[in-house]
Amino acid sequence: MFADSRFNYLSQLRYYVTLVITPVHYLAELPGQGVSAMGSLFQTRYQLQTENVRLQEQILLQQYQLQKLEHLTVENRRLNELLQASSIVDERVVRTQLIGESSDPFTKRVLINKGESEGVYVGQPVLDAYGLMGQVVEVAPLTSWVLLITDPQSATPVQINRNGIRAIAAGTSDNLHLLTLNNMPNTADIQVGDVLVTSGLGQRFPEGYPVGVVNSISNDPGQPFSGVVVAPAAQIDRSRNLLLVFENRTSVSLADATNAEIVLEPAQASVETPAPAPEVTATAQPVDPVLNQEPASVLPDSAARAVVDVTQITPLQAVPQESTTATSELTPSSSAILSQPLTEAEILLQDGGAD
Amino acid sequence: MAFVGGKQKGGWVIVVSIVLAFVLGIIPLPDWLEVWRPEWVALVLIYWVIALPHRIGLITAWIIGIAMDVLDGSLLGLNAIALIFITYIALNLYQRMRMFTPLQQCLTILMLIGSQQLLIFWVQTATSQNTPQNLMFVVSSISSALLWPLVFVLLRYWRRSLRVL
Repeated sequence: MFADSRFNYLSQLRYYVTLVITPVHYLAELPGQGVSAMGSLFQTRYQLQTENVRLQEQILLQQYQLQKLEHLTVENRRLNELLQASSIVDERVVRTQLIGESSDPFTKRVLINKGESEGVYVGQPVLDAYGLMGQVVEVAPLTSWVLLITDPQSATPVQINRNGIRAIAAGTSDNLHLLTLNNMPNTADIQVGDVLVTSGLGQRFPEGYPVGVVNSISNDPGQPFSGVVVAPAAQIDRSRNLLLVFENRTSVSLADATNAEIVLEPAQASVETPAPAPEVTATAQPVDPVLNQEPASVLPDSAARAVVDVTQITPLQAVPQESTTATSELTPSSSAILSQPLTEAEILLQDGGAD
Repeated sequence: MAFVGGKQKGGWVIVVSIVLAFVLGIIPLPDWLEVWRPEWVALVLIYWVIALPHRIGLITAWIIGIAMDVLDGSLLGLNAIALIFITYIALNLYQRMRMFTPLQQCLTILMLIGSQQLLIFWVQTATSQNTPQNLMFVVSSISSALLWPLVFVLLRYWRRSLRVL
């Protein structure tokens, strides 16, 4: 037993016993699954319709946010390249489902249905739809244990989104649903309602995922530090669908940058078309014989992306004079273009070409 | 172990009851009820020790305990040592426990499960696994003691009707 806590000799034993014992977890899940199956069986038509409407609204909103995000990601990447940042974190998420919970009432650990066979590793961050959930602490062939951020043994490096003050959000044994910020000075600029995101320090959680919102602050002059209580952003006790984050750290090199240019070249060509003939729209056939490699009909969103691409390529590649003027017109408002329908983007482009 | 051989019959009944206890032990409960979750596995194990002391002993307790540790994700051997501990006491007490009235049995179970919880708590603190701030971790012994008559009657009915010897 002490060997298990201090050394790793017994991990193999645990590994194989887990394989045998895992079906019990699925057995324990059966009643709950049965109840939810019954629930979905007896859902009324009206409930389904209202849910459908609500979900469609949600998709619309999120699609809109996604449009913006795509642009911001590209911009961020470009800025990182300008700053010669050492690495770009490329993240991939895999959906997983919660199948069990530790029955020990003094810990917060959950079991998920992905294990070593899916490439899960110890220390891997786990999210839900709303924020950071925890990290993988134990991996079995088909399942893994996740230590949630509100467990007394868990501590998460965070920073305040508003001003970047760093802190450590730790679970407490008093209340397994809240976090506290350790060692926050009484004079620190922190307010109720501040959003905390992961700071990326500690090399465990990637930067920028929401951790929680400051719930209450108590300043006791007799105490060296203020007591800051944080409500986790993730639905720690309710989420069943979780996301496993796989990170790929790639270092930026000149080769990457040139690759990016090559990919962007056709898009650049499609931007140039409006210059000779201002009334040409993005969906029109290319006139110039050089552009014959272009697909016959350009998709609207690829044209929208091309608008942004011009600003990227300008410093590195020689662009015809007319396009350069278009670029200078577009640069300040390029973010606005992306969030608006394509027609407006075209109008702007044509205006720039007319100059 | 509890597998069929010679005169011993109905090993599967024991295995099924233990698996059921595992399931009851990990079924999700609301938070306020979580602390009161009875130690199902320990109850079933104590019953089989009292009923069939020639078949169920320390080795069975150890195997069940290891399985329970893996199931809980707790320190490997934590539940094993706790179950061995109470099985040892139950093996010494079984002749008296068979004579006890239900109330006396409940009190014995309270002591057994209580000491098991204290042992688990002690080991967890020694290995800095977690440190409960209060004594709430022993309340599961109360719920276990209250549920003992039910477990006892059900398992005895099961054992007699299926002729587990």
